[in-house]
Amino acid sequence: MLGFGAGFVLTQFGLRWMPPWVGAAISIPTSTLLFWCLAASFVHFSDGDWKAAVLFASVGLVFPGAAALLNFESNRLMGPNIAGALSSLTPVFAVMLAIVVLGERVRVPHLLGLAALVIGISLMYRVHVTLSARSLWLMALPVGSSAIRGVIQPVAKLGFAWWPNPIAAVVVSYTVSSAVLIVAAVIRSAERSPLSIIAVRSGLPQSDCATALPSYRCMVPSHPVR
Amino acid sequence: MYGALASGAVTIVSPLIAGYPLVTLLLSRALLAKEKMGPQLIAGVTGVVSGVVLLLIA
Repeated sequence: MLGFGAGFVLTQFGLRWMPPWVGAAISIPTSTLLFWCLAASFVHFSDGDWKAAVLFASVGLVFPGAAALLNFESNRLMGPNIAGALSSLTPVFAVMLAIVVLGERVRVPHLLGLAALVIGISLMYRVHVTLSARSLWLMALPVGSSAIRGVIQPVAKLGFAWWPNPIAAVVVSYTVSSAVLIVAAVIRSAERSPLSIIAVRSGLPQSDCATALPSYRCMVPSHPVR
Repeated sequence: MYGALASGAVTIVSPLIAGYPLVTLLLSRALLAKEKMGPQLIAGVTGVVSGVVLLLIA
């Protein structure tokens, strides 16, 4: 929780000089390099399990890369307040799937705590909007992003049953996610200015937690949803 | 997140991770001085803190 929160704030400094999607295409691969350095000491791939690796790789297809891009689009199309508030649904998806797939049990205090968290986060994002039919339809974007973030948690947990090494999980998933993001950034850069392509290819380091890049803006008053 | 998921139940870890906007808020006030505390924000912070406490003691 502390790492995610600090990442959000630090990211604000990087966003002063480049757009969020370029930042994501730099920060997640940078994190991946760091995790590979850690893997040299903490991961013995010969002890790994291919079923777990496939699960971790499938997580990487959507998180953190695709979830971050979905977040960017949610913020751009709907505004940061509603997108940020809907991101609080993430633990709801995760807990529901954990109960169904992993057979985890929840008690009443757990449910009360989860409800308090979701309501509290929604209040923090200050949603004062009148939703049109279009914005209701666009809600699928932030809800989809929340669903991705929620679903990957039980999936990763499943993988740990076969290969209980979090560094291995993060190395595999971030490597896949980096590839997804770099390809997306190169394609998007090709549609924009040549300077953007240089920015992507230069690999300048930036703060981590790129999934948070636009979400910090949800915490401050911004333009309303139309 | 992966480390927490490897050692803890998803039903506990996931809601705790979701409380990160609280840390963001506190740090943004300290480092960026962007956030003003209104009644709704205070209610939100109270809700998040209560939720985390409930999850930890449950």
